[in-house]
Amino acid sequence: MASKSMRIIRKKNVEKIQKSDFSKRSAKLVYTSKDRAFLSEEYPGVPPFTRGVYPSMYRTRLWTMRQYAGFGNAKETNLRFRSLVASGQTGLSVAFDLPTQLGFDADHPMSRGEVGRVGVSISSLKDMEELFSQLDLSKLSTSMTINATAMILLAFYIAAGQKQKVSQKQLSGTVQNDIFKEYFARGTYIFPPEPSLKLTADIIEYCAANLPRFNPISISGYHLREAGCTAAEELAFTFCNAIAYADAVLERGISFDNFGSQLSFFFSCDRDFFEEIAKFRAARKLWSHITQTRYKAKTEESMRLRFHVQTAGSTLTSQQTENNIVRVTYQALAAILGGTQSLHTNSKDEALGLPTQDAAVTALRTQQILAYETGVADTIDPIGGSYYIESQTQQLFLDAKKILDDLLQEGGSIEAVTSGSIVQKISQHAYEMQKDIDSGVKKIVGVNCFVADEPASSVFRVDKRSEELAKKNLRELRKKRNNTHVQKALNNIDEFAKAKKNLFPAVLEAAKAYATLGEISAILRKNYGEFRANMKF
Amino acid sequence: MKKKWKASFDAITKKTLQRKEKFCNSSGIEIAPLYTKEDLPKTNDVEIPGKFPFTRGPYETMYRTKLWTMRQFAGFGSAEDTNKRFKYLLKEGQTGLSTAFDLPTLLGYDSDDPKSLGEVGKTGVAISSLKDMEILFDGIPLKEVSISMTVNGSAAIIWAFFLAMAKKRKIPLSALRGTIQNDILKEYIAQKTYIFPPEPSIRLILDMFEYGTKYVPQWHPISISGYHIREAGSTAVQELAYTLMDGLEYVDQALKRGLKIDDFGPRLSFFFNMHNNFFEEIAKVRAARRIWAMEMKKRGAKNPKTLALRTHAQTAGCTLTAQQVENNVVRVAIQALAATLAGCQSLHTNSKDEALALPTENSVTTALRTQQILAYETGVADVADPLGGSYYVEWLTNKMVDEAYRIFNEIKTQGGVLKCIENGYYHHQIGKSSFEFQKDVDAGKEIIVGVNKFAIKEDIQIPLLKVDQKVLKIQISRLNQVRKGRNKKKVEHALSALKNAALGKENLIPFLISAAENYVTLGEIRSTLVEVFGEHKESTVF
Repeated sequence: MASKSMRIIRKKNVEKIQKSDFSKRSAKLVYTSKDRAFLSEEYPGVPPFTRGVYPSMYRTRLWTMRQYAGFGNAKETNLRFRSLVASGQTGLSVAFDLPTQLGFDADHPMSRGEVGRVGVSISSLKDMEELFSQLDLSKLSTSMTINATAMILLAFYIAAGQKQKVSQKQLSGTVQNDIFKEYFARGTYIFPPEPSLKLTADIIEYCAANLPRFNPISISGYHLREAGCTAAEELAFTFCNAIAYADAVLERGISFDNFGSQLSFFFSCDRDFFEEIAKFRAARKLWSHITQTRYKAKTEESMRLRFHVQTAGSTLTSQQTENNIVRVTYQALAAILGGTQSLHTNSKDEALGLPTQDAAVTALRTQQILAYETGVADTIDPIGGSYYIESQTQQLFLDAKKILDDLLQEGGSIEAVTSGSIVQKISQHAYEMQKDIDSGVKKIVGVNCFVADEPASSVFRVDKRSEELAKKNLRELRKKRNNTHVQKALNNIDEFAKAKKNLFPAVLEAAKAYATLGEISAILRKNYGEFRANMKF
Repeated sequence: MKKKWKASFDAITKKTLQRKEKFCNSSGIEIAPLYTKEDLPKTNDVEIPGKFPFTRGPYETMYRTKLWTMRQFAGFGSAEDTNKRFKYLLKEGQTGLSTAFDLPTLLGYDSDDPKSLGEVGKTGVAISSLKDMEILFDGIPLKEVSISMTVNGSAAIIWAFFLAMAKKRKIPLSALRGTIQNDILKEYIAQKTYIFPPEPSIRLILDMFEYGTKYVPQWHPISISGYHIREAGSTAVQELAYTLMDGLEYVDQALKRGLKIDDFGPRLSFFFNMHNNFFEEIAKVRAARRIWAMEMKKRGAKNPKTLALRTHAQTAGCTLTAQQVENNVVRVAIQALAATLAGCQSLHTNSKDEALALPTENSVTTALRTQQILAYETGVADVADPLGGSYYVEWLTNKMVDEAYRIFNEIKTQGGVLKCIENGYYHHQIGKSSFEFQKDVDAGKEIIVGVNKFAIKEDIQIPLLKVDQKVLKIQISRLNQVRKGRNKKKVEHALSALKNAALGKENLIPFLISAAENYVTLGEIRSTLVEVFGEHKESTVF
């Protein structure tokens, strides 16, 4: 049957038939029951979890609608948070500005011009208290996109919770804390790989013992994908990093089942609708496989791949921004059909700058419409069994596994930082993608086809006074706090670092004493040094 | 392993209630938490696109060789206004045109008829004579662009205008591609723009089948439409059943007249609504293809083109909200995706401001971009029937087929389609569904984002397209010119010939074309036909 179809195709214009996906995974014309003949029985909530990590999925609880937000100073972001919660958002997600991510206080000379620009500026516990003012931390789950300084910010958060009389056991949320993808794609690293990995393991260890409801890490494929890698590579690179973290914790003599269930993941949802759905399904299957073969996981909780998804910022266009609502809708639907646990939908104007309030609301409404109007959450894994999807799922599983096995052979993530192998692969694909956009092989509506003349859109701007205000707050804080106390706490961190102890308790004490982000980071910088990217390529 | 899943599912749902007591789609079909292989008979697994019963699509290659036609419904004001919009849409990459007519045109009245007052050019373009038709398609390459016309009661006359215009431009009728809605049964059921009683209406339709098959072979002389039935408040399965039943009525009547099924069958086309419930809509269209293929086969069809149902789809206007209009971009995008996953042949995506009034140029562009993004960026068109095999979608498709046959039987026991129109069956059934839905909305069981949940305070203020008030003036003066400029004798002759033919059994289309060519107006033709056929009055049984 297929061969006859192929003849029809050959007869018509063959050149026109091109798989639009960039991993160049070939798609056949028609998929039939033969394409899923390999499939054994699979059920949601049962390993290998291809059809979903939980037995009841969205029948009992929808995914968490979690919009990433943050700009200016803590007060401004607090207002946005409160408005998002009032609009029906069910989880918070904090974006931090670059100085915060790199461990500089708002008044540090390195911070000039960057304070509050791409996220909220947080320099001390004081700012963190302000950020969650009138928001109940015992009820909210908070995600924090923070990596090199994750321990410090999480310490601020715990301390802010304690001010609200919420114990750390009650806190729920996620801290990104995934440093390897910073070296490979995102760029906000501070220390060299080895001490970074130590800090990551410290956080995982501390949370396993003290914050049972918190995900101490969100191992992220998102930024790798945004930088240009393929869907299969996104899975392989992410799991390669996950293995590096898990191995580091295991070395401390902690069993996998003690922390495995707290590992969480974060993927992108790019433009190829079915490939993305298949990717999420393959990811669950692959992680379940890794945890059982490599880590001999015993409890099902630690075999479960739970993940957050964000729609792909790189697919948005600054031209005809309304089109972005459409793109985000498809990506959001793919994430839901892929069984995500939480979702950030991008705002239509994110290609231009930080989202305006209106655009942020529409992005949230997109999730609400999917949740309440379309019925797509009414049955578990609704596309399960589709010949095409099942075949793509298996293909992606095998492709990602192959890439991962090769990477592990070459020494895994630490080795990849030194050799630059992952970065090279990413930039190779990014280059090919750009070439295909330029030549029009890859079509982007409104960019290289269906172009229109249009007036510029209005863009959200951060108030310039944010920086001044943040500086003033810091000056006051440094005057008001007990500086002997602060100094003692900072010295304590120094001692812990030298003794190679888990730093978390010392950092938490310093946070409570109102030591600033920059002060704590400076001690760590002194002990660990700074990482310089290897500029081989 | 299923036991293990079921045990944990039960344990969880004992502790945490499911989000709803019962998960149902619009058709009242209850949705289970999980579907597996066990939910499907073996028959699903052997289906292939382009092969009987065509559940997986009418063509083997589907969108791999040709994308669906992006066809935005447009029309307002005068023929000049709409001509300009058409040219804009073609320039923006639209691949087919679709004409909306104003109410007077749909009902067969000239723009200067007193009955037309206040309605001229309002919800579509005003067409009163061949002259308007010439202006409407001026400069549009009719050999390359396929034209769809949404007109029913006056369809035969408007089509005659169109064919006369093509002839005048020396375009061979055999080169014309397009569709005329011409589905009178659904007008009696839901939309209400009928003129004549059912019997002569069906005669005109069959005349068009016959004429089209012979002289305009690339044209679809009918688009059997569920769209309006759905918009009137029916469920998905009602839409499915009523529409296919209407289609079978036309087919059976045509067979009775002696037309051959494989002659006219390949030119029948359909038009379905794309509503909110994503998988239900996909299953609906798959079910429609399977049922149609089986029914045509029963009636002796052999040609695969007769067996394979081809359909246009439009996203559901009734799901759009006046509140937070940007949300409509989202709704339309989801509905459009459902249409393409269902394998539709052409698609109209609504504009976000259609809940408020006629769409503006900007919002029309976004609606079109929605289709272009689907087509060029998402990869959903790369594989035929990508959802085929999904346990849920296949199960739901089977279920929709069964439910549609249940409704077929109900209609048959009541005496068939015409009888059901007469006795108010449709009116009653659709009214009931619509009432239940509204009740659920009011009770908050059905959530409409921005309306009964997540509402915000807002000034509803978006740029709306205002129809130029000059349209009536333009139409009146053009009609005067037409009446002055034409050959009166020829007009009288054409009308009397038409009347004689109507009294007899001849095919009326050649007479209509000849009247059109002599610039007889829509209203004049209507009056002549009404003299013979009478007008339809809705029975008020209840």
